Amino acid sequence: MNAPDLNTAQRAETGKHTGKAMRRMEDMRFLTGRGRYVDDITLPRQLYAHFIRSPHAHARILKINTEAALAVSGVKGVYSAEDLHGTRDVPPNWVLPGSQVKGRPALAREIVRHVGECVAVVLAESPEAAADAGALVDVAYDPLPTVFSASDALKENAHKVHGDLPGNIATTFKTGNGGYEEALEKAGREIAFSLRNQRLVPFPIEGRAVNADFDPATERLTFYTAHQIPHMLRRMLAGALGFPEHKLRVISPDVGGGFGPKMHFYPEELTLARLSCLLKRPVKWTERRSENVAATTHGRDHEMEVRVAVQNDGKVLGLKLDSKANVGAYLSSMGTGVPTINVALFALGVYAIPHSDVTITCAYTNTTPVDAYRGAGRPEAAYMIERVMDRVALELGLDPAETRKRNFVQPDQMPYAQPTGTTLDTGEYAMTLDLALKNAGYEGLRKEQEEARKKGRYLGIGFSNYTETCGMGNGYLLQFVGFDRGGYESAVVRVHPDGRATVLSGSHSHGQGHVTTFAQIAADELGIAPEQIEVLQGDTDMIPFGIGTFNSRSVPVGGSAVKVAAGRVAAKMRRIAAHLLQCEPEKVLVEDGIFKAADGNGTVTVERVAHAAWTGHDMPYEMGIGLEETEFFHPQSMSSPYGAHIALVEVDPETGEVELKRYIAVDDCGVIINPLLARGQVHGGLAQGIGQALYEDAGFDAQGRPALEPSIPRFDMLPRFETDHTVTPTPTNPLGAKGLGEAGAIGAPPAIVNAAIDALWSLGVRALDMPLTPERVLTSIRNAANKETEV
Amino acid sequence: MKSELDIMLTVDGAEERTTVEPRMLLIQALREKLGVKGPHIGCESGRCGACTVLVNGEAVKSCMMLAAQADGAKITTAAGLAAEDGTLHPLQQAFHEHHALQCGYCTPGMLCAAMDLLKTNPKPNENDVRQALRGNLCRCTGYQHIVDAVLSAAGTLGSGASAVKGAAE
Ligand code: FES
Ligand code: FES
Repeated sequence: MNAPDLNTAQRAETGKHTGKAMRRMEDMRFLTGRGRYVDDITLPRQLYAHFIRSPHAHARILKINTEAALAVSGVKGVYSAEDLHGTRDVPPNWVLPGSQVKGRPALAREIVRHVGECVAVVLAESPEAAADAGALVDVAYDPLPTVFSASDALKENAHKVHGDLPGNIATTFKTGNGGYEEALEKAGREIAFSLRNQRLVPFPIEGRAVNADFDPATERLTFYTAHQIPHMLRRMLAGALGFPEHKLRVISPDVGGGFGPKMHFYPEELTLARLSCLLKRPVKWTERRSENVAATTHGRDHEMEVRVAVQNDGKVLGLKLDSKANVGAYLSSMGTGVPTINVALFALGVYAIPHSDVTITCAYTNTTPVDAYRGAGRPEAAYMIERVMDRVALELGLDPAETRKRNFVQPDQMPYAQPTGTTLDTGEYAMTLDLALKNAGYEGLRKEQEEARKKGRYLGIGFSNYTETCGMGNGYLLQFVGFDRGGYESAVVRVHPDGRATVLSGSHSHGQGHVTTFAQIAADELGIAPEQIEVLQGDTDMIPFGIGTFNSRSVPVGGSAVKVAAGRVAAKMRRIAAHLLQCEPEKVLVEDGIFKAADGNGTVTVERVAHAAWTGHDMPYEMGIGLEETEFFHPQSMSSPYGAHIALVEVDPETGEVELKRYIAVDDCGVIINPLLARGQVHGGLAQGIGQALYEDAGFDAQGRPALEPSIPRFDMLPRFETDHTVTPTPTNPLGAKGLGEAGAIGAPPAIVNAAIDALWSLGVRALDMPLTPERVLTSIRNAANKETEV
Repeated sequence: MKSELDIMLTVDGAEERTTVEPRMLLIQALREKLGVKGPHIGCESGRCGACTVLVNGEAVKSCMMLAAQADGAKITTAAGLAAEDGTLHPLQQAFHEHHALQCGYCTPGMLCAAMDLLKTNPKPNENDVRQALRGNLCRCTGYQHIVDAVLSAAGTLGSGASAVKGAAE
C-alpha cells in the first residue's frame, strides 16, 4: 500500500506567515545575556527578604526569638504572623463545590503543617545581611504527629492535618454514567490493578522571585513577580491585601520557565506586598533552590485503583476508577480542581467505553501543597487509561495498537460527549496512530524484539494515545465547576501612524515564543511583515485584562484573540484604502504593506492608510478615527488535542536499568502556527514526561523533607525524539489550533512504562511504578519470580 | 570588622574594580556588584550551570568560585560573545537558527559551556555534546535543539538531523 504523507496531506491551510518555521524575534536579548528577569531588577532604597521556614512537617510554634537577628547590622526588622494583621490567608481560586477550604497563611499562625512553610521573614539592607540574620532567628517548635500520603491520611484514626477537619478530606468527586457491574457481567472478564503518579517537583531553572514596591506618593503598589498570569495575581493579591485593584500594577518581565507553579498565588507574595506597604520601601526576594523544592507547589501525587470490564476481543465495556489525590497541607490556587475535574473527565481517554464510574477523593497531608504542573491532571488520567489499554492487550494476547483501534471513538462520532463530562471536539485517532506506527517501523520493531528475546535481551514497545482538553472554555462552565476565572483571552491590535503595529496580549510567555507566533498571526491579517509588529505582555497597566498562560491555551485562545482583533483592524484598513483607491473594500488586496484594487491601477501604502486613520485627513467623517481593536475572545468550548506516542525500551533484568532507545511522537494539535516552536514545545513536554517515567520524584524523607536535588533529566539522560504531527483542525476557534504545550508531558509516562512492562511481561512482571529506577525494576522482577515459585 | 578585598576583573573586555567580602561568590560579585546580569542563579550549588561564565577562556560555574579567586581574571559572559559590531557569534546564531532556547534563563550559561566544549573539541559528535554539557540543566527545551545548535556551529550536524517537516525555511 502506498501510504500518503499524512503530515503534508493533512496540514491545514495556513497563511503567508503562519505555518512557517519563523525564527524567534525575542531570541536576541537572551542570546546576548540581556534577558530581564525579576532578580535583575533592583530599585532605589531596596530591601531584601529572607524567609524563616519550618524544618518540621507538623509542629506547634512555641516561640520566635528574634533578638540576635535584630542585632545584625543592616537588619530592618523580623516579622511574623502578628505583624501582618488585616491580611487574609492566600485563598484557592478553583474550589470544587463542596470542598473544605484551608488556604495558605501568609506566615504561619501557631501551627506549621509542612516543611518549608513560612514562619517569619527578615528584611535587611542587603541580601547577605538578611541571610545572616535569618540564620540567627531562633524558633522553638513542639513537633506533632505527621501524615504524608493520601491513603494514610484517609485511614480511620489518621491524625488530623487541620484540627477542625475530621477525616482530612478536602473533597470527593464522582462522575460517570454508572453501570459498571452490568458491564462486567456482559464482558465476562475483569482486569484490575493499581497505579501511582508520584509527586514531582516542577523545577523551573529560575525559581520564583518578587519585588514589591509601594509608592507612598501615588499610593500605588507595583509588584514585579515571575508569573504566568499577571492579572489573576493582581485580582487575588488585591483581595487578600484589601488593596484597590486599580492601583495595583503587576509586572511579570521575562520569566525563566513556569510549567504551572508560577501561575499560583503564594504566601511569600502576600507577605512581601504587605510589608512593602507598611514600610513604604521596595522589598525583594529571590527564591533559593532549597526553598523552591519545599515551598513552590508540587505536581501529581495521585494513587489509583482501576478495574475494567473487557471482552475477549479487547473491547472495554466498563471502567471503574477509585483514586486518592494528595493536595498537601493547604489548598493552593487550583487545589481541588486539578486532581478531580482534570483527571476524572479524561478517564476514558479517546475510547468509547459505554459504562464508567469514577470516584476521586482529595486528602490533606503534611506536605507541600500540590497544584497544576505541566499537564495538570490530564497526565494522571492518560497514565491510567493508557496503562489499561496495553494491559488489556497483554492479558488477552492482542496487539496493543489493534486493541486501541477496537476501542477508539470514531471520527463520525465527533463531537463526542464522554459520560465522564468532557467533550472530544475532533480526532482521527486511527489515522494518527497509523502515522506513528509507520514512523516507528512497527512491524520491524516487533521482529527486532523477537530476535533480541532469543538472545536474552529484553526489548519492550509501549503505546500511548493520550488526549486532553485545552484553552479553558465558556465562563459559565468554569463557574459550574467552581473555577473563579474566565475562559477568554484579550488582545489589542494597534496599527500606528507609521504603519507598524503593537499587539497587547493577556497571555504571558515564559518561554513559549508569543512575541513571534502572535506576530505571525497578526501579520497574516494585517498584510504587513511580522518584524513590523511588536507583541507586549506581562504588565497589568498596559494590558486590558488577561487570563494568562496555562492549560496550553495561549495559541488557541490568546492567538485567536489576536487574529480576531487584527482582522477587524485589517477590515478598517481595507475600507480606508478603498476610499483612497476609489474602489469597493471587497476589491482591496493587501500584501507586504501595499494596498491595491483587484481590478484597478494605483496603490496606497499601509503608512498612508494609517496616517489617514489617525488624522482623519482625506477621510469622510463617518470613517471614524484610529486603527485599534480590542478583542476578548471567549470560546464556547475547549479543544481536544491528542496524539499517538510509541516508546522502545530495553531493560537489563540483571541491573534493572531501563534504556529508552527510541521515542516516536505524533501529536495532533490542530493547525500549527510555527512548526519549529511547536516542536520545541513537544520536546520540552517530552523531557518532563520522560523525566517522570524514568527519573523524577519529590523524594520525601521520613521527616517529610523533599529531596534537595530531585533527578531532573540532563543532556545525557534523554534520547533524540522523533516527532511528527497530523492536523485535524478544531472548530472551537478561528485558528483551528488546539494547544500543544503539555502534550509531551501527558503522553510520555504511559508509553514508557507500558514499554517496560512489555519487555518484562514474560518474566511475570505486572506491576511497575514510576520512576522506573533500577532498584524498583529489580524489585518487580524479583517479586514476579517469587510469585511464580509460590504457584 | 569584615575585611573587604579589592579585586579587578576584566568582564567582556571592560576593566572593573570592586570590593568584595572574602566569602562573596563570583556570581554575586558579577550580578550584585558589577551589574552583569547575563549569568543567572539557578541553584547556587554547582548543579544547574545557569551561572556558567568563561574565566580566562575556561567554563566555570561562577557560584562555585569566590570572587576573590578570580582577581585579575578575564571573564567572558554571553554578552561578550558577539563581535563588536553586534554580529552574533556563530554559536549564538546557531542557537537562534535551531530554536535552542525557550525561556532563555539557562542560555547564557549554556553558551559559555558550549564555547568551552568547542574550544577543546572543535568537531564533537552528538554524544560528545551530551556528555560535555551534562552539567548544564535546561528544563524547557529537552536539549535536542541545543545539541543540534552546537553540532551545527561545529559543522558536524548531519544533514537534516532536525529539519522541520513541511516547513519553509
Ligand atoms: S547557580 Fe551555579 S550551578 Fe546553579
Ligand atoms: S530555555 Fe528555559 S531553562 Fe533552558
